[in-house]
Amino acid sequence: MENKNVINIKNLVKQFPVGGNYFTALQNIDLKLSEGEFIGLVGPSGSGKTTLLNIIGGLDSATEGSVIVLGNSMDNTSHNERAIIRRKHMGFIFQSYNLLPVYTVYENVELPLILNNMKSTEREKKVTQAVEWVGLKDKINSKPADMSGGECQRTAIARAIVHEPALLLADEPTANLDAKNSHNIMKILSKLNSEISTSFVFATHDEKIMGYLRRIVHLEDGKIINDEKTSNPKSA
Amino acid sequence: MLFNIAIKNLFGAKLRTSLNVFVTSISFFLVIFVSGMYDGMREYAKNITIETEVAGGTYWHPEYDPMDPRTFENSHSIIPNQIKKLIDQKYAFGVLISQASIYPNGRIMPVVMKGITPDQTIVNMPTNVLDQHNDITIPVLIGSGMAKNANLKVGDSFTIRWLDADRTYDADEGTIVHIMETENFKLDLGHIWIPLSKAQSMLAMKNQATYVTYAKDLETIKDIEDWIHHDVDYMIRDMEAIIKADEPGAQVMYSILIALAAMGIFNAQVLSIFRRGKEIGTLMALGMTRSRVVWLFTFEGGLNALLAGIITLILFGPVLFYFGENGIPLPMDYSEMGMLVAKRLIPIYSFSLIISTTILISIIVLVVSYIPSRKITKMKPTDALRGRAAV
Ligand SMILES: Nc1ncnc2c1ncn2[C@@H]1O[C@H](COP(=O)(O)OP(=O)(O)OP(=O)(O)O)[C@@H](O)[C@H]1O
Ligand SMILES: [Mg+2]
Repeated sequence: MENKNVINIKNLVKQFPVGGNYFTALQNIDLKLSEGEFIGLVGPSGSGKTTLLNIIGGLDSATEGSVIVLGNSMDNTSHNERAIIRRKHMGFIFQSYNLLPVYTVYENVELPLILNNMKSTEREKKVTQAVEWVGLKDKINSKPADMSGGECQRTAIARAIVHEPALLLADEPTANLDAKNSHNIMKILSKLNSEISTSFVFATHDEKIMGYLRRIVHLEDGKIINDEKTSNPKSA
Repeated sequence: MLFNIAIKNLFGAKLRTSLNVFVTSISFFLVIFVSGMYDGMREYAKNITIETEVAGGTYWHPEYDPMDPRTFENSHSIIPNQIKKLIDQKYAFGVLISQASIYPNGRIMPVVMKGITPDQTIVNMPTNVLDQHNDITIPVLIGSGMAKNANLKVGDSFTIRWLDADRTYDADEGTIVHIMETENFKLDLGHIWIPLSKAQSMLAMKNQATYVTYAKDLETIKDIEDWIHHDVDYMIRDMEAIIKADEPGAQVMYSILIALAAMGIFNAQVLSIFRRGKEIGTLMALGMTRSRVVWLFTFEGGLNALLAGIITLILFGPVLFYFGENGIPLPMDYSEMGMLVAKRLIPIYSFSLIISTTILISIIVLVVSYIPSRKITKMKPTDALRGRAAV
């Protein structure tokens, strides 16, 4: 496999204005990610995992340093350009699913394809496939309110991968789930990772997840304190 | 694309949509209803005058000037032939006017005595009562205001004194046969109504009249000799002037109503949009551009307004129609103040009122959908995702 850089971060600093002062949430971050990696940003609460993930996804911007994602320098792009990069090449999974409550599973999963102006016949094929991947075929017309947390998160996964993004960002995807569902989710994700060329970045402090990760980046107080490949990750 | 999503959002969130639509349509209804009532109030005097006095229009004797009683003496003649034909066909009736005095309870009261065709049905006056008393020398119909002033009741008799065509005074006994409730004080105060034929013989003016009132929707006659035609517009011109003078007041009231409606709609829309901060954040994370989010929400607002219009029509249309037909009874009687104020208010919903209100409400809904969604997309996507509302 060719080792293209999916993410290339150099000297990233992120500060938040707090009162009249600045709070430094991330400092001196250097991080490279190659295609197809399955990596976790791990660290205690407040260590900056979400902040880093948001910057990678272009939802937030760096205070200093350079952030290149999928060949785009995120500091020099407009809001609109970043939105376009996200809808074409990225998928998001959130801790609290963030499904649109009035949409069915099908409609939720279909949304990224609509945003990408895909034709409806093609959409149908892709949505059906994605829903099958996560094993929710029989729930395809249910709404989030009528489903379990695990089913909601599987819907969110289907929504995140339906357009086969190059990069998938997941912020604590298992934090609201029990052990069984967490393992199930991680199995689905690592299976996807081995079948499509998507790179995965997790933010987590969930021990259950760790075993699946192929590389763990430890964060503490906004700094990377350790970056290691795991020896023998679980897989699907 | 936006259209599909907006439709899904609207019909997916049934409760939210119905609440918003309901608030909008209530505002819509109230603006139209209250403005309609106000317009109705302003139009009322006009309508009453038309119903009880003017009907389709009038032909006047050239000397006649209702504002100058001195003209009454000379403003009468044989009714021109073509007009007489209308009367024979019961499409019109004649009125013969003269000054007179009555002596109720030993007092003297100058009055305007009007002879009117009893069997007319062209204006809303109970003139038929004048026809039902062959045993009475001069049957007299008066209004309740006049009855009160002169302290008269049905069955009371009094002397009537008048100047006939030969300029000699005559007198005879009149008897009240009916006291009418009329909302048009011009038919009431200082007036006595007697049968036309009686008036003609009392005054020795056979076949003569001062003016002739004809039914609505009748073509005007060209050949009316020296008589003068006055259409409805002429007859109600002073009331039109009053209504015109009141226009700024009406506009202020309309503006206040619209402002109230705007606040209600604003509240509902702002609440529903700010509650959807997380949804907006998610849409942005999924790659919807800010401008598209703004459009989506504005568009949803527009659809909201459209639905509200339809709901107003279905839900409140019958209510508006009912009051438009039957009016709203008013508890107080203002007629003693000598004002033409309705006892029953008929709201008027003019085409322009409905159109302008629809347009205004739609604009308001669009604006109040646009402003908050624009504000929310100005926040960082990360804040929106957390569902934090920008203030
Ligand atoms: N918008 C903001 N304004 C100010 N401070 C912020 C903001 N966002 C994050 N922070 C701060 O930055 C630090 C890192 O936050 P972040 O959310 O990235 O942590 P995290 O590692 O994701 O924690 P958790 O495991 O609890 O989700 C925290 O101390 C947080 O308070
Ligand atoms: Mg976090």
